[in-house]
Amino acid sequence: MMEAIDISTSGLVAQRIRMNTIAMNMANIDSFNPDGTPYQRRSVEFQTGSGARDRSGQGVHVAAIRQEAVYRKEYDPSHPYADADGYVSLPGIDYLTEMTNMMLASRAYEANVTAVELSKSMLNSSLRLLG
Amino acid sequence: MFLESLLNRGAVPVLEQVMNFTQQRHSVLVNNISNFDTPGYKMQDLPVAEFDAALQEAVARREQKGGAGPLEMRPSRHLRWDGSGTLQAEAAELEDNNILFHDDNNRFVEKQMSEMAKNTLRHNVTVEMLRAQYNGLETAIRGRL
Repeated sequence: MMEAIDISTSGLVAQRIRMNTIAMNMANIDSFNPDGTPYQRRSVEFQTGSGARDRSGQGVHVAAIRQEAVYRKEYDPSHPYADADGYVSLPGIDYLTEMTNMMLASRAYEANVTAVELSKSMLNSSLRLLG
Repeated sequence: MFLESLLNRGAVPVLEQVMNFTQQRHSVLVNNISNFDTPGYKMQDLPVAEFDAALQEAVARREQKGGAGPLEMRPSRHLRWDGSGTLQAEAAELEDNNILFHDDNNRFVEKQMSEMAKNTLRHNVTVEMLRAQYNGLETAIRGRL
């Protein structure tokens, strides 16, 4: 029963990391790196097991945070990073995708919270057997 | 020895089996929920109908022997019991009719959540019944209400 709570916790942690990554993408929708290259969109990759070396298949963990070299072009000749044709490469992030992913992450987080609540209620009723 | 024969009769072993099963199934269902967004993961479960059939059959067999003594559970397709009668279940991919999403995951959120709620309810009901059994024993041992 305790193991069930650990599994749910791994789900909560993974969804929170996903949420942080999405927040970072949305905050950096127009950002450049210090070297002048556009910010690259981050995305998380989930895998089963509670860690890279865990083969039990129980729980979930973030295996990698990937950077995607996808950019959107905007015409702005006066921009310091504009190319010869007057186009600027900006991070390939759009709010719609990020918001959708954010809602998915938040719903998945809630599902894990519900699982913990049920684990707790089962544990409580089992403990009441003692007296 | 006396205590063992006192506890190994009536509904107590049956309730113990059900409690064991619901606890193990709960871990499997929780694992499904934590992997709702894992690419390639397939929903797993323990076979409820198979367990109920095995339990019913074991109870019927015990009835034929006079209704006393421990339950003898016989292994079925997905379920095994060890020497002490504890369930050793392997989670399996039982559902193959769910929608397969583009990330190769066959999540079915509503079903998983309701299965987990039902499983918890069954566990809690079993525990309450077990409690009632123990309370009855306690009353009998004390000899007064």
